[in-house]
Amino acid sequence: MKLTILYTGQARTAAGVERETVDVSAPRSVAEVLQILASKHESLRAVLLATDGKAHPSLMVFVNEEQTRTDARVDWKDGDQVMLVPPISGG
Amino acid sequence: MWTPDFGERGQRALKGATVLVSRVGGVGGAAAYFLAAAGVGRLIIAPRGNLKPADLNRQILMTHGALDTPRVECAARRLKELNPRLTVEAVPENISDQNAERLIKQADAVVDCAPLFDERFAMNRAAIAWRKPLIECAMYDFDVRVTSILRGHSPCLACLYPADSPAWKAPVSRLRRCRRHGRQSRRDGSNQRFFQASESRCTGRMLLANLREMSFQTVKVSKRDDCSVCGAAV
Repeated sequence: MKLTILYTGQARTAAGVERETVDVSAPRSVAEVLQILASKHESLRAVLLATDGKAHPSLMVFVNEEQTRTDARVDWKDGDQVMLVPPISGG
Repeated sequence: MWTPDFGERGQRALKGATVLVSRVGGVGGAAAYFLAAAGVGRLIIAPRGNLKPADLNRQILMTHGALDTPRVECAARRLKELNPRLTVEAVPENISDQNAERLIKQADAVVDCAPLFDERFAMNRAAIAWRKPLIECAMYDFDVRVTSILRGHSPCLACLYPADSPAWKAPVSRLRRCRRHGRQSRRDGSNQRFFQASESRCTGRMLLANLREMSFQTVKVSKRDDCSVCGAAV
């Protein structure tokens, strides 16, 4: 199954790309997708995951533009878009 | 400004309004400058520290001649040059838990452009407690985020970002009548109601813009029922 990952803010800096397509084998939750991405891009780990390895509570995730909890189980479809929005505070 | 839904009523409300802008750097300086141009009556600006050369590439209220002098003085001078009828309260402090309540109580709306989340969370707590509209603005690289926070109508900042993170430390980077209206509306709170009504299009939604790609979108953002700041607020 192919998901389109859209990176914003520090996530884009850490991943080094604006977006990418990730081929995943039926993850059940958003958190599992984040684990896959953190394994793919080690520099993303600190942005996506808390020190306990779980999804960072302050990371906002939007699946097809709907804000989705990281522990949510999602009925993924090919082509779904996952946008990662970490906190930014530049003023 | 003769724009729909604003007009003379909006202009009078703006003239009678007090807006707190923290701080007045790249984002806050632009916000304060346009508020002054648009005719806001009173601005409270709260940046601490002296102007540095690295500030000048984006901070439009700052000038080369003011290097090594207090930012707040340069910003206040520039705002008054643009709009001499504007009242500026120049506070040489960053927002913190020690001053947030005192400053936010005086304002009809708060524009949060602080570079540190400690400041942002202090403003969020006070804005929720005092039911003040809080316009959250942030930039990172070419990314822009804007959302309006209003108690009971939107998630607050702690709903959006409930936990601290080391990754956040990544680099960021007709006047007499109007005056009379201003005094009256400060007494009866009508300016705050105007701001609340005006910001409804952004309340509970977040604008995400990527100026490198010139892409813009708004997304709905959700309140947390267990939020430690606004969870019990109505």
